[in-house]
Amino acid sequence: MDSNSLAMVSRDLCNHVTSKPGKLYWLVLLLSISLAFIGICSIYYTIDSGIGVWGLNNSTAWGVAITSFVFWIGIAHAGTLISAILFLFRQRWRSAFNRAAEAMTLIAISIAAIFPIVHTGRPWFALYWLLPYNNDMGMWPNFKSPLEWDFFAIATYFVVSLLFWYLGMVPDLALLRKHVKGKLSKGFYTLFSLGWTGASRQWKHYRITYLLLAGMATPLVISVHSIVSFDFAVSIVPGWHSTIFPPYFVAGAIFSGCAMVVSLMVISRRVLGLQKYITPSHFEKLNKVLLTAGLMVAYSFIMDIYSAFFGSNSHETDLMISKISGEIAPLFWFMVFCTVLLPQLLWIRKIRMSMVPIFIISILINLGMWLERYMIVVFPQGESFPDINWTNYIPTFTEMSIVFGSIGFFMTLFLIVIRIVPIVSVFEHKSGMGRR
Amino acid sequence: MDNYVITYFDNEKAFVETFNELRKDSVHIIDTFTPYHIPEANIDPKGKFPIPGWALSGALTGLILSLSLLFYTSFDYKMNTGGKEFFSWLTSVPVVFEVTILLSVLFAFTAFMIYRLPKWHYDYCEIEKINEAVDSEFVILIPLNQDEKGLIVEKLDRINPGKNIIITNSGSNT
Repeated sequence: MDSNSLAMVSRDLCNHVTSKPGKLYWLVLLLSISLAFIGICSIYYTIDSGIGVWGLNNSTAWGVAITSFVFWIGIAHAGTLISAILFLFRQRWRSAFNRAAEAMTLIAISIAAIFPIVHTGRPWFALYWLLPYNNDMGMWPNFKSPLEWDFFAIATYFVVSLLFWYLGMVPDLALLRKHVKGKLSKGFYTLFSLGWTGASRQWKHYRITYLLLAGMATPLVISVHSIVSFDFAVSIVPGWHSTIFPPYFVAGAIFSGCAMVVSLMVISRRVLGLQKYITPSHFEKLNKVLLTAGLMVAYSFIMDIYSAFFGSNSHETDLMISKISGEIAPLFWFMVFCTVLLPQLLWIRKIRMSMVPIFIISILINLGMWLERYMIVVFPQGESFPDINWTNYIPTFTEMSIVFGSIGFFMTLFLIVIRIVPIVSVFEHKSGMGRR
Repeated sequence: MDNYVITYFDNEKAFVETFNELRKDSVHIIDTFTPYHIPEANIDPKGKFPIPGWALSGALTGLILSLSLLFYTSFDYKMNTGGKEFFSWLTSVPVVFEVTILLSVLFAFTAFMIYRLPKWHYDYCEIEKINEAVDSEFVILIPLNQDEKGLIVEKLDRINPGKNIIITNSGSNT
C-alpha cells in the first residue's frame, strides 16, 4: 500500500468533516432538533409543574422515564463492547464501527442521565443528593443504596468512555489538523490533537495506554449494567427480585446496543458514501455478535419464565401468568417476536449481509428491547403484592414526548459528532490495509 | 535548528527494511514518524514505559480512598437498620470497584499526557515531510554530525535514492 492509497483513504474518510454537508444532512438535523425541542418543552413543563403531570401513581412509581433510562444505558453498552472487548480479542473488523459506537455510548449515557434527574422532580438537587458529600445535618448519601451505586457506575462509565473515545481519536485529530482549511478549525484540531506527530515513542505510549484503558473498560461494561439491574434485583418486588437479572441485563444491553450500531451504520454508510470502507462483511460479523447476544437474551427470558413457575413464590407465578396471558400479553408476545424470533433470521448469511433486512431487524429489536424494559420496570409494580394495590399505569403525553424527544436528542448529537470527527477510525483502517 | 537528514518512504515495507538496515549499521535514529503503529519500527525497544505503574497507583489510590470513605461515613452518621452492622463490606463492593477503575483510568491517562503529550508546538513541526507522516508518509529522522555526515548521506542515497532531505540551519535541500 503506497502513499497515494493512504492519502486517498484519509480524503475519503475525512470527507464528511472537511466538506460542506448536503441538504439531506440539514433536513435530518432539522427534524432531529424539532423532535428534541418537543422533549425540551416537556422537560420544562415537568420541572415547572412537578412530576404530577406524569401518569405515575401510588403503586407505579417508576414509569416510562426509568424504562427509557435503562434502555439508553443499554444502548450505551455496545460502544465499549465493540471498542474494548473486540480490541482485546484483536478483531480488526471493529475499526469500521468502533468510532461511531463509542460516540453512541457517550451520547446515550448523557441522554440516559436526563431521565432519573428529571424524575427526582427537583433536578437542581439531584447531584447534591448523590455526590459523596455530607449535608447540613452531617448526613451522608446512603452508599448501601443501589441508586447511589448507579451514580458511581454511570459517572465512571461516562468518564472512562470519554477518555477511551478521545484517546482513540488523537491520531485522527492530527490528520484533520492537516486537512481542514479554516483558521478556527485548524486551531481546534491542533489543540485537541495534542501535538501528535506519529512518532515511534508516541505510538508506543499510545498503544500501552489504549490497551490499559481497554482492559479496564471491559469489566466496567459488565459492572455498569449489572449495577443498573441491582436497582430492581435487590428489592423484594415480585418480578424484580431475581438473581438472573445482572447477566440478563448485560446481555440485553449488548443486544440492543449492537442493534443500534447496525441501524446507525447502515444509514451513515449510505449517506456519507462509505460503502468502500464499511462493507457487508463487516456487518456480517457484527450481526453474528448481535445473534449471539440475542440467544443469551432468549435464554434469560426462558429462565425468567421457568423460575417464576418453578419457584415457590405464588406472587411471581401470578405475575408471569398475567404477563403472558393477561391484558399486557399482546405487548409481551410482540416483544418476544421482535427480540427472540426475528433475530433468528440472522442465522442466514445472505440476510446478515443485506442492508435493508438488517436495518429493519435492528429497528424492531430495539423496539422490542424498549418493551422488554417496560415489562421489567413498570409491569411488576402495578401487579405486585396484595390485589388491592393493583392499578393501571398509563403514560401521559408529557412522558411520552420526553421519550420521543430523547430520540431527537440522540440523533442531533450524533449528527453533530459526525461533522467533527471521522466516523471510521482512519489510522486503524490504514493499519489494517497496510499490514494485511 | 540542528542538522538532520530525513529519509521518507511511500510504503511500509521499504520503510521497515531501511529502518532495520540502519539499525544494523548502528546509525543513530532520532525518531520515526508513521501514519499508523508499526511495531517493527520501535526505536526504543528496551525503553521503560511508566504508564502501567501509574494505572496501578491510581487503582490502589481509588481502592483505599473509597473504602476509607465508606468506612468513615458508616460511623460518622450511624444508621441502625434493623440491627444490622453499621459497615457492610458487601454493599461497598460496587462503589469501591467503580472508584478503583475510575482513578486507575484517570491516572493512566494523566501519565500518557505527562510523558508524551500535549505539545502545542510539536517537535520538528517546521519540517513538512514530518507533517505528512500523520497522513501518508513513513519518515526516518537522523541527526547529522560533521564526522559521519558524508557516510550517512551516501548510505541513504544508495538505499532510498531521491527521497532524502538534508536540513541545516540555513534551510533544506534534497
